[in-house]
Amino acid sequence: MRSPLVLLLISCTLWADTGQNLFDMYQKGMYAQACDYGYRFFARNEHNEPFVSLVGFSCLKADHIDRLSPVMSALAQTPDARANSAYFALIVMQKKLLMQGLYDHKPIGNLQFPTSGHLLSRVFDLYVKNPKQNDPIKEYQDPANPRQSYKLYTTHSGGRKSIAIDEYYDKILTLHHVY
Amino acid sequence: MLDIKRLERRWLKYKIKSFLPHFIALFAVLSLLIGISLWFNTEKSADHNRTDTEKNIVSLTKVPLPTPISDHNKTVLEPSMEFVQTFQDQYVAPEPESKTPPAEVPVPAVNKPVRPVPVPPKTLHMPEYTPPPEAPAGLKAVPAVSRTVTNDKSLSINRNESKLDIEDLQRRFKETSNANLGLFIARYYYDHGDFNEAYNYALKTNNVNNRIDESWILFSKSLVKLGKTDQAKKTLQLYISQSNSDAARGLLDAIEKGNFK
Repeated sequence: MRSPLVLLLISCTLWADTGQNLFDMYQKGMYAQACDYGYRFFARNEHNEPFVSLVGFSCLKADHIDRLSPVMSALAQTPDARANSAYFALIVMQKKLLMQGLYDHKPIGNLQFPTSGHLLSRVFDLYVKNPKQNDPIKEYQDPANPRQSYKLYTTHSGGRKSIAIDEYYDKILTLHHVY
Repeated sequence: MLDIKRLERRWLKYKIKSFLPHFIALFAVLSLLIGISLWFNTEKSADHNRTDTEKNIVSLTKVPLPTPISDHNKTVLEPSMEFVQTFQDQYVAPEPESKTPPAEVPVPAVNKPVRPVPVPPKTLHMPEYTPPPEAPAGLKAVPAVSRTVTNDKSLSINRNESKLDIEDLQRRFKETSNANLGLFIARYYYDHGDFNEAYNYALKTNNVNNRIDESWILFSKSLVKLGKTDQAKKTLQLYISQSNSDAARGLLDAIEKGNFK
């Protein structure tokens, strides 16, 4: 009788520690580590939506867009979770469409999509308006901030086809993203 | 002697048998009613779908080309960060500092000892700057993604190239002396609360190009933040006299009125 109680206590402690560790990593800005860590304990916390959301934002900030797929599927029960699920789904979808557009020249100019404040969404909107099919590196200026510009191009990372977005401020490379 | 138990069983069987036809009739009527209602519902939804499809077909035939995307009617999806509060309630012991939402970048220690700031210039040719010290550990830009995290190799990801490498920017500025780059670095440090470094890079930028408003403004703001308000005022007055900059005048007014501290 006592052993199940002890097991339950241990598992509760481990569960709490997992969440605490994930939260600490996120707050310290260790997004990639938080994403890896959360992903490792994902199955155990699949029904804990705050945990899953935090894993999602960690992976998003670490530019691990592909890891958002299980995250968005697991978020459904609360309005908060559904908002995040839709947000992640939009970003995943826009990444996939950008890849199709860049690699296969799939015309996506006639698509009407929601948007978001995420870099991928901003660049996706610019690409949809002007795909610049003949340019291997597509340069866009942010209409909201003329000093901000982006370069969108294909790249290979770890043997996988990926897309890269460079952020420029006053023509100075400030951030390099590989999705 | 009467066998009461046997008689009771027989009576129960008799009762069940007598009620059975009623039960069967009731069950049949209920099944019929449920069946009829289900049939009506499916008919209704089929009709509804048919009319919708017809409407769609009509509308599609009326619109020959896809409509262009308009920014005005675009739905904007925003993430909801309310879960952070739930998370904190669940896991984290309540601390007044930890109530804030997760920081984008670790905040540097602002109360570290500040190096003495050189006396502000008499002319717009700025004095030599002091070389910046090593950035404090807390301020170093955290690479957005690190290569390895755990011992479990199956979980590590190699596609990890996003970064904001402020040290690389500093190196490039040293090599190219690009004023825009210097201004970016100064702004970066100012935004991150390292006013000493912001001061240094604004100064360097002014040395490269002394006609950038923003650089002078950052320089003066950093001076104010470092407690050198008088020097900031003098610098701004000098700059205004030479450039007639409205932005600099605005900042000077704000400092004099105490609106900018």
